[in-house]
Amino acid sequence: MAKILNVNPNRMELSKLKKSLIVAKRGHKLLKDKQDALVKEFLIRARVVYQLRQEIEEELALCYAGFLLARAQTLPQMLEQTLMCASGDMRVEVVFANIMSVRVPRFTFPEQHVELNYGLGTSPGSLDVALEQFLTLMPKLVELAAEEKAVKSMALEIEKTRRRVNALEHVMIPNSIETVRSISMKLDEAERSTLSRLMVIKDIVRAH
Amino acid sequence: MSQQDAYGYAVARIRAMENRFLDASVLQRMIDAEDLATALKILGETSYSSALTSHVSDQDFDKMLEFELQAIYKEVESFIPNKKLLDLLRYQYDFHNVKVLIKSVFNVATGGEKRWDFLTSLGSYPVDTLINDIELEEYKFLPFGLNNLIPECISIWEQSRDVLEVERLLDNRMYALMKEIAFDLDIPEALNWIRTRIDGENIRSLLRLKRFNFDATRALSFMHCGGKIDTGMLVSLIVEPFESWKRSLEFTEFGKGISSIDGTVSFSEMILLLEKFLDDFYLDKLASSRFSSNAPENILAYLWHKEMEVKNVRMILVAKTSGGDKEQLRRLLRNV
Repeated sequence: MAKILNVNPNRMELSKLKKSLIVAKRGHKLLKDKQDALVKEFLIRARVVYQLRQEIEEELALCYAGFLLARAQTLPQMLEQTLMCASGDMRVEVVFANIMSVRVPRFTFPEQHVELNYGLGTSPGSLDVALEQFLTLMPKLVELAAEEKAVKSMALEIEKTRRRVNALEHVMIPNSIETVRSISMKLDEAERSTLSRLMVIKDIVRAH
Repeated sequence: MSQQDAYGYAVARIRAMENRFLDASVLQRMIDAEDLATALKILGETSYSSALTSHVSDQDFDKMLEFELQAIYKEVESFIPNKKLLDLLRYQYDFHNVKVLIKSVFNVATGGEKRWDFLTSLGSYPVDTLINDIELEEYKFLPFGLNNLIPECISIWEQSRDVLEVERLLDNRMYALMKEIAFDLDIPEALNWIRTRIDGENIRSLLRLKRFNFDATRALSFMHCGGKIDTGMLVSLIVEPFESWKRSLEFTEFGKGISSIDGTVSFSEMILLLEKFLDDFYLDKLASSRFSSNAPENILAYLWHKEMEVKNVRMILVAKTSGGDKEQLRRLLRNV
């Protein structure tokens, strides 16, 4: 139920309230439009992310299978030792795009080259394949990370916008309308009271 | 007592120990087992039972296999006349330990941490002594020619941060050492076997280097000297497709085996097949020793067979843990 705001019932407040009501209604419409657009964009991206994740998970399973093959053929300590000093330098550059006031990251992944940085004597050959598969998968993983971050940011923004829309729709606008109505009634009442008082005074004056 | 006579007793002991090898049916049952626990239960019915009982967790099977291998090395060491023969197979673990320690030094220098948990007790040189010597920079006490090599490796890393070069130097030293020891042992078959292993390792490295687009000059430094195949000829193959390697290596002892590998399959498949072929081939090279009751190479054959058996068991157990493909597993098993 709408609540009457705690304001002085005068014409100045009424005028202020009416102005803020107009702004609230306009804001509500804009936020509602933003929410709809965000939801639409979110659904499109969520579907893309879902597909991308499925593809990557399949490829990742293959990578791990290759890695397991390497792990099965040697002492686990030997495999760990082989990968102890990774000298590869992997860089990811990030720029942010603004989609409906949501900061969405865009990662650019410069082309990486497979560099041999471990000894051949104590490492199995299948490790080369597993590591290369991981390296091939890395740009996709980074892309998935960016897309998932975007979807997560959008979900947060939708949630935030939805709260604002609800607050305007169910609290601020009804409260303002009720307060305007209440102030108008009080002002009308005061006007009627003044008028009747004046009429009584006029009658008294006439009687004398 | 001549060397041949001295090995008579050792070979007799080895013959008795050979009865403890897992036969193909056990491996087959393990492959067909539903899960890791069932596979370990089957393994518990074999000579691995004592190693299994000393390790509580099912996931701890790597420790169990290491324990089994160590027990075998200790047992063989107790009765062979010359322990150096055993070292031919243990140097790979010694050099692994050296790599762990040297990489720990590099890690600490770059703000990382020491990873002594990667050390293995399978080596011939005591791990504690090795740690002590490297940590206290008492390099002069290090064996295997590492007294000069370790400072060189550290210097290279400090100047260029090139871990690959460090590993290359250590691998080269390992194979050179194997050859030196085999030569000192005065057992022609052992020397011949080590030279075959050097050739096999060179072929394996060459295939891997080809994949990394190394040119012949750069690949040459990765070839280990002392094999029967000229390394210069070998590196010239790097520019050729694998199919034509068969023709070029036809005259070598690897000719037949290399020809059996399909050159049109993917690299991942090819390297797996090559590694399997090489592992089996090293054992076949020693097969003729079986007909002699006092040939020292019987010891090498037994130990290599045991190494392959442990490798097979590890492959099966890893596949059971991760739900690996049974058919692929069967194809990869060594000497079955």
